[in-house]
Parts: sequence; structure tokens; C-alpha cells
Amino acid sequence: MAYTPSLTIGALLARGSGFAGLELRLVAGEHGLERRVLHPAIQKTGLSLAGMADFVHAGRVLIFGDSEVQYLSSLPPSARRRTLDAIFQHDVPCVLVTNGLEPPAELLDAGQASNVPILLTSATTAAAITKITALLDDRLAPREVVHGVLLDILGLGTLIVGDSGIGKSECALDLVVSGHRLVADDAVEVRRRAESVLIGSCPELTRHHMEIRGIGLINIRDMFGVASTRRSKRVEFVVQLERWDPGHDYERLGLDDAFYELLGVAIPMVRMPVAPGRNLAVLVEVAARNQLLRVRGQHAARALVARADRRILDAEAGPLHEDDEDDEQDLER
Amino acid sequence: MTTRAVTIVNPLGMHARAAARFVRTAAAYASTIHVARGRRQMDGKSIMGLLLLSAPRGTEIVIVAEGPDEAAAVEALAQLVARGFDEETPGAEG
Repeated sequence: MAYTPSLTIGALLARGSGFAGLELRLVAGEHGLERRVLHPAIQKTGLSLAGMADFVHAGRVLIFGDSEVQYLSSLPPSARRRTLDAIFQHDVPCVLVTNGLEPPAELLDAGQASNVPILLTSATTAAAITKITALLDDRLAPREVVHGVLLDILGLGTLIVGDSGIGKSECALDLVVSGHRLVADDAVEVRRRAESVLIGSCPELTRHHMEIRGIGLINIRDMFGVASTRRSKRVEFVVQLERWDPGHDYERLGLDDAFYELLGVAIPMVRMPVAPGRNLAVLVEVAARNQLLRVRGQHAARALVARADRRILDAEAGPLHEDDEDDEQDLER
Repeated sequence: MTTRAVTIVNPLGMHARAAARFVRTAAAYASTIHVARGRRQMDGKSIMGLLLLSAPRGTEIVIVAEGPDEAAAVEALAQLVARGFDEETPGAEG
């Protein structure tokens, strides 16, 4: 199931420096570390200090830069605390004071009283906003765990899905042996970035591993080398393996586009019937190569069908025997 | 062996989607099926073969079937062609 995570300030403190090189220091409000950031967009405190506190959005990191510190200092001391308390009425997860500024004493007091963590960073306001937004965008991205295998096939992030026991892992193993790269087997963590980009990765515990019936758990990277796996890959193509159903009409022309819906994003998909005598790994690789061509505007099915249509139109217009000669030449070639 | 001549009636002729429907219908029968236009004969279960016939509207094609269900196969395919390959929107891309 899809879920949208949140991030506690405690986790933000722990992750901050590791992710984006954003050194964060907690100076007040340490009882509020369980507060949660809900939205990747930050909020500049700005006019909320001037009494427009209703525009403070719950769950967003509040940025306190030069202008905020200067403005607060320009207020009479009695008004400073009142202004801050009004802002902290809203569910502010934390305040980040940028640019290595000295936080006003009233800010520390208000944070302590309302249990709103006050964090400091030496990064400039612009750099701090960029870094914390990147970090939050990553951590707060909607995500979903998909049952399937994610591979990098010739640079195309290909997700193989299908019922258990249909041969996803075996197919993926074939592809790895052919030099393609494994991202995740069985459970693929997919997160959505920038609204329409899906990034797939492997949970840390099972990274580089596969389970093959008859052998058990194997470590792909140890067995095939560092280039045989990668940590994450954009999901750009889905192959859905299906048991061959004689009653179902499988794609014969490839003119109609099918899509697989994941976290609200439609990804190009092919449905691949599985039957004895069909080499799945080769079929999946060919589907991926075909998709790569389509992305570059070379659509084999449409091109051939367009030529066939033209041939029919010509046959309609011209005398039959000329068309026949043309075809004879075509067939002999 | 069962043989029947039919005329293509749909505006787009035996274009790709029409060929796909023909092949889909033909594949449901065990008999071997061939389609002839003039002196050319193609496997009736091959889309690319049927495309090579390049048969526009008004063309006469001959459906030939041989096997245990040949009569039923020819009947079903002849009807499909006569119905214009069940095309819903004539003039749509092929």
C-alpha cells in the first residue's frame, strides 16, 4: 500500500548532516523532538512575524533568516514573545535559524515554552533552504513497496511484476547473467519524486540478494561483481508476466500503449505471456530495447503499419498488376 | 479442404488492426488457414503475411482452410470479412 511518511525533528537532526551536508544544532525546545514535518516545502517566517500568523502552514519547517531576526529585534521586547507565541499556536514542527545568526533570546524562550525545537545552521538561508528541501523531498516522498523485481536493462529501469511463482526471479537472474543490473528482488521500494518521477530501490537488509527456488538466498554482487547491482534506479518500464491464457488476446501489433499505475504515475507497460519454450529473459530484454527505441521516437509497429496502409491506398488507386510486381520484388528480397 | 471467396468491404481494407482480428479469429481453429489474393497466398494466422497482401476495399480474397474444423473456420472468417472486421470507427488510423 502507498503511504506518505512524515519525519520527526529528532530524525531530521540525525539525518541532516548525513544527507545533504546540512549541519544542524539544537539550541532550544528539546522536548519537541517528536514533532513531525509533514510537507517538503519550507516556510519563510516573513510576514507572519508582522501579525499574519494565520498564514503559517502546519507541518512545515519555519526558516528564520536575517530579515526575520532583524525584524524581531526591531520590535519592543514585550511584543517579541507575543508575536512568537502567536506563530507557535500553529503546528510548527521546528524553526531553523540560518546564516549562523545568533537567535534572539525571546525565540529560545518561546521555543522552550511551546516545545518547538529551535535549530541553528551556519549555512546561508538560500543554501539551507535548498538542502533541507532536498532532504525533505526525499524523506517525505510518497512511497510504496511493490512485489516484483527491478533491474537496470541497458539503462532502462525495468520493473518485472506478476503472480508469485511465475518466474520473476529466475527471469531476473537470467538477465543478470547477461550483464544487466539488479536493483531489488521481491520487494521494491518505490518513492515518487517531483510528482512524476518514480525511484525504485532495495530495502537495506535484502540489498544485492535474490531468492532462487532450489538454491535459496544468493548474494548477486559477491557472485557477479560490483557492476551487477545498483542501489536505485528510476522506474521507467513495467513488464507484467502472466500465465498464458488461451482465451486472452495478447498484443500482436504493439500499436496500443498500455500503462501500469504506480503512486499515481502511469508507466509504459507490456503484458508478457509465460509459456514453455518462451525464453523470458530474452523477451524482457527485447521489450526493454523496443521501449528504449520508442522513447527515442522510433516506433517500429507504427512505422510498419503506416507503410502497410500506404501500400493499401496505392493498391486502391493504381492498377493491380503494378502493385503485384512491387510485392513480388518485396518478397524476393 | 473448404474454400470461399469474399470481398473486403471496410473502407481501410485489410489494414493492420483488421489483419490482427483476422488472425485472432483464425488462431481459434485447429485447421491450417490460408488467404489468397490473386496468385499470392499467405498464412491466415500470420499478421505480417496478411499485411503483405495489401488488400484494399473491393478486393476479392480467397479463404482456404484444411483440417478438422475447416468449415466452421471458413464460415467465421468469411463473416468477419463481410462485417468489415467489426470496425467501429471507419477512417480511424490503422
